[in-house]
Amino acid sequence: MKVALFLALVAAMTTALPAQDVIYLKTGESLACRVDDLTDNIVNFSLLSNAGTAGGTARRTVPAELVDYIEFDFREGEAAFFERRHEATSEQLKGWWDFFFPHLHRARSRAAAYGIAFAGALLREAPDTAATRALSIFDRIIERAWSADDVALAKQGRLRALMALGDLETATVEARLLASQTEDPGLLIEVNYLLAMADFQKLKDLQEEHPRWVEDDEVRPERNEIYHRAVDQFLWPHLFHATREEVAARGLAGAAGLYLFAGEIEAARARWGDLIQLYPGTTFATEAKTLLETHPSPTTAPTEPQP
Amino acid sequence: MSGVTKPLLLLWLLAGVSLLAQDDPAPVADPAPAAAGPDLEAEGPAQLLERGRAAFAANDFAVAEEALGKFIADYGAAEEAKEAVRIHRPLVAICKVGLKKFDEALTWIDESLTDPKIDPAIADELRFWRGICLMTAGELVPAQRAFGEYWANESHNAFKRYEALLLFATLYIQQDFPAESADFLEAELPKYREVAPEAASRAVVLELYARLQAEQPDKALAVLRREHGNMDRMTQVISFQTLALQLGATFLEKEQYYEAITCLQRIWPSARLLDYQNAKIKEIGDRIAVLEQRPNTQGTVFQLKAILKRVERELANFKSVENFDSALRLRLAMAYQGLERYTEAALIMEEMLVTMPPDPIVEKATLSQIQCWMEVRRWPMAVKAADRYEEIFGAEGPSLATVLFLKAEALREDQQLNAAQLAYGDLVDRFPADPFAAKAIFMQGFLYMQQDDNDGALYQFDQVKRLHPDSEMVEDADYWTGMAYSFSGLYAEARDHLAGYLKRHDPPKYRKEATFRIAVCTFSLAEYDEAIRLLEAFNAAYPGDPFTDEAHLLIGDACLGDGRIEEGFAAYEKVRPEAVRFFEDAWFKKGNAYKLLEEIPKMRAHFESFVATYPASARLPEAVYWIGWTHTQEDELEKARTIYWDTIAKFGDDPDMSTMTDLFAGLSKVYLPGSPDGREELLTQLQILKGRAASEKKLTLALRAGWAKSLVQEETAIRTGRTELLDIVKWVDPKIHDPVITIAVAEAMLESGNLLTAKELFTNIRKWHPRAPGRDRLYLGLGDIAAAEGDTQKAIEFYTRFERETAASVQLGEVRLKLAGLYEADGKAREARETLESTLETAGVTAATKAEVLLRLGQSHVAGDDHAKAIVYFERLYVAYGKFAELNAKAYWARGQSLEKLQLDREALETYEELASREDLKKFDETAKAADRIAALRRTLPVEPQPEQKEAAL
Repeated sequence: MKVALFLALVAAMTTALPAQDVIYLKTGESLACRVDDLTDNIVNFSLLSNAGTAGGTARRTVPAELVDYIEFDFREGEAAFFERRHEATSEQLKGWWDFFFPHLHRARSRAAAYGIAFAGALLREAPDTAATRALSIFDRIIERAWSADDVALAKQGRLRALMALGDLETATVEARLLASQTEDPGLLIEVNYLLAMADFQKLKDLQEEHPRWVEDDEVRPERNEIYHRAVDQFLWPHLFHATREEVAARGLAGAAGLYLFAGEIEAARARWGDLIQLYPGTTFATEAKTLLETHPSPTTAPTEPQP
Repeated sequence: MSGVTKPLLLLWLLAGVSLLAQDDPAPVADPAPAAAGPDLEAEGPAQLLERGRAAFAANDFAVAEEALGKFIADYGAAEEAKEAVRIHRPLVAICKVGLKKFDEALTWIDESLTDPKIDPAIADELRFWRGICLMTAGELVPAQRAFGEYWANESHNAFKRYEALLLFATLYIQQDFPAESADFLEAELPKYREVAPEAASRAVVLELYARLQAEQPDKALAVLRREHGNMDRMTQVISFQTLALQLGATFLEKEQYYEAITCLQRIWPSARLLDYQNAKIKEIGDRIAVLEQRPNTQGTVFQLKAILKRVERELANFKSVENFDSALRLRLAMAYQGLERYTEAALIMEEMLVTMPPDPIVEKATLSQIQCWMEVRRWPMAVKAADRYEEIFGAEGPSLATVLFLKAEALREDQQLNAAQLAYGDLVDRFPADPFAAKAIFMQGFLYMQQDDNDGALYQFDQVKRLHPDSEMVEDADYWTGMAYSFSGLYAEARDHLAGYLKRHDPPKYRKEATFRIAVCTFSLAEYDEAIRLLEAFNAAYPGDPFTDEAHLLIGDACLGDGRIEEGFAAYEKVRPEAVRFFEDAWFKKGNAYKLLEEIPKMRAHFESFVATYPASARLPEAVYWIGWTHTQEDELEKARTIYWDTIAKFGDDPDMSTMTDLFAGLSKVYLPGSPDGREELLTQLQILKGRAASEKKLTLALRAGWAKSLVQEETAIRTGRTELLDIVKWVDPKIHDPVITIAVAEAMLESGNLLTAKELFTNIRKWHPRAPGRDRLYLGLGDIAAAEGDTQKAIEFYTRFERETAASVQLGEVRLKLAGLYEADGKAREARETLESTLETAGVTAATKAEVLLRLGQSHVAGDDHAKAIVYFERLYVAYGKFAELNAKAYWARGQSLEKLQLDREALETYEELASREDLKKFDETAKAADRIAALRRTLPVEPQPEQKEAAL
């Protein structure tokens, strides 16, 4: 296994000749070079000649324990791709994930970023079939990634994967734990959104299981609790982080969708109206306009002509 | 709002003046300490120049002005001094600026600027300060022109150009042209935003202020939207956000809620504002410190110090603002309330309460929050908010009485009637004189009435009048007192009281209701003539009112009671079909009248008309029954049956016609009840119907026929009936079929051991008919299945639900026994005993069950090694329930055993002897075992002398 990994690594590194990597030593010094081989024990690299000189390289080795971190230069064409990685397909991302995977645990590695994008693409493209794969990638990142930010993103991804797999119980428990452990508004918004989505799904399941929940004294309180909790969670960024317009609008759209599901058309229409008025520049505003048009107010809806 | 923001709104104008007219003018450093002045009169021209230049270099403007001024005054006319005068005149001008002698400085500046050879750097400086001097002198138009020219000339000092720009705009405002000021700032902003972001940020604040001054809120909002993203780079962020708060308040006042929300959502909390502004102050201070170490930076340092002073002043003002955050949040919540988004408003206020220290605004918000939760009918949240209000503000909360009332109302709406009753009582106890106390007392009465405690209601209503005679609730209490009498069947009292009510209030709020109730009470007192008069008067006074249907029905009843048949029928016919219950009552009463009048054909036609016209009525089977009855009265049994079968043929396969269940169940009434022939014939007909319906795929009809067949069979052979139910399970669809049938089928499946199907059926019946009559049987079935599957917790859950669903079922005792068994198995002895004890108190539980419960209670105490308690239950069993022989034998034996454990051997012996003496218990093992114990105990116990022996001994 180790040999294979090493060979893959060597192959990977030697395909990227034009790049200039930088090794930062713990002494504070840095070396512009091309990293040839990298293991947990040693770093082999080539010092490149300056442009316009006679050329030639000098190969060196330093013990890994002396290295603080390495900044791998972007390979040709990679920088632009990396910038837009969240729009890429899983097929496009898979190669980069495989390529960087051995460096997942190394400081400043881009492996986790590619992994998160890759698993995200899997969930986007095939939530039913690829959720297990996505979950394992997120788990690997959570376990090995060097960056706390990447780990946080992977935890959010894990929640989405669990929800895609239908494991709402685990997703909810983990989301609550995550929410209790962070004060980062961005992360809280995402986690609350996932909790709201999980509750929305629970609500759908419960109402499917109990179609006459309105008449059911046992089920109705539980249904109402889930419903109201989901509404509150959807509205949270809209009410407390409204300047993050995209996520605020997403939450408001979620609340409107929930109201629509519950048959509260006026409440849904009110939220679509709010979304259009308050977040006109977001991606959700267009959809809100369409929904507002396609769901007329029950009180103003045209009725069948009477004889 | 004005109290919060107004002082800050004026900052800009004041700041402008202070920057340029009152603060230390540039380019000066602190003057040297004052020393004894030189004697200039004694100095010659060279000395004056030397002294003046040295003082100027040392920023000692007073000495410099005096020396250079004297030089120019004394020697300026001399030809040889002209060059020196030309060079030093600007310095005098600068000194005068430095000494804030702006009027004098203006003349010197103007004279200096006429010099074509003036040093460009000095000319630049003087042109800027010329504007200041003019501005200070109140020459606003020339001052603005001066700044305008300075700004327009790009060769001027860049730093001062931006100040000139701001002063140019400020002068527009000073001249009452705020719109022009804002337009100018907006137009110029793109030209320098990138190169001078700090100046641009101040220009934006001024622009926003100008828009507000110009009463252009929409354009102000555009500034806010445009600049919001740059807030974290603003020097005067407090000013900007305070202006935004004012703008939000303006929109709120105009009920432009979206605009208000847009503003208010963009304002930072005070902690963030303070942190940011403090950081900005430190940043400016650090920059000044660095610049002061460099040469030729006095101008920049001066500008920075002016900015620093302004920002510090803003910060100090902001710190003095109280309740900034809560005011902001409350306004945001108010905007959402204005949009009728009560959930959003409540959530904002919820967050306020969690994160903000209590203050008067938070207190008001809490009250609003409770009201918002009530608007969206989230009663538990309203109760929670009310509890929190009490927790935070306690008795000090000025709205506590209101809060307590709202809490009680929320509990009532949430159907927690007992808790609501207590909550109203709590309010009355704590605020007996509050206006809400009267309402609370009234509501307590109303709740009593809802729970059929009319005496309790009457007491509370009386309390309202007695304790709060001036309350608006007195009239309500007065009216409902009459109603409570009526509900108690005290019709005379009710009538008198309500008649008094109508006189006591002018106009009476419940005039219509009281008038109607008086008529109803009169009817109930069988005073029919008067009742008819009153009810007709009511109908005439309130034509079309919903009460008139009931009035017509009562008139009909009263007329029939008086023997006025035709009038009675006419009254019944006036009841409108939309008043379904009264309409059907009237129809059936008319039919019943035909019966009493023995007008059988009319009666039949009457009910046939009902069946034809209202087949969906819940009373259809009743009508069919009466049609059948009319036929049986005329010995036309076949015709009686035909009406049943015709109706079944017509509606029997329609699952929505739930009344068909009753019709099938009623078939036996037209098949000679009790007669074997009739029964057989009915079974045959049902079998034929079932088979034909099944072959025609009329599965609902087939199911109903099979179920009806099982009913008939169960009369004589329960097992046969159950077998029939097992046969029809294949047609059951719990979603559409009547639970009366499907539950019976599910129970048959359970009894036959098919737990899987039974469970599926019970579960789906519950799913589709959560309020089905007989749901207690569902829970019992599901509990039995769970127990059989070994899922104790689930079984306990279902049995507990069974208990909740049924108040007095004969099965309740059996279920509680099962439940107790499960608790015991689960190691919950206390719960088991409580369950068993409650069974003893439950009405409807059979004697056999109670006997078994006593045995189980005794055994339970034995298991807990509490023999003293156990013996009481064992004894109670055989004393009170002697006919249950097997249980009696066990009870005697167990009691004897416990007495032995308690070392009461003699009493144990007596118990065993009593057991042995009962003939009816001889067949049980316990009797044989008792005989052994009797023998053993007799051997160890001394024989007590018998009475005869005692007497002999004596």
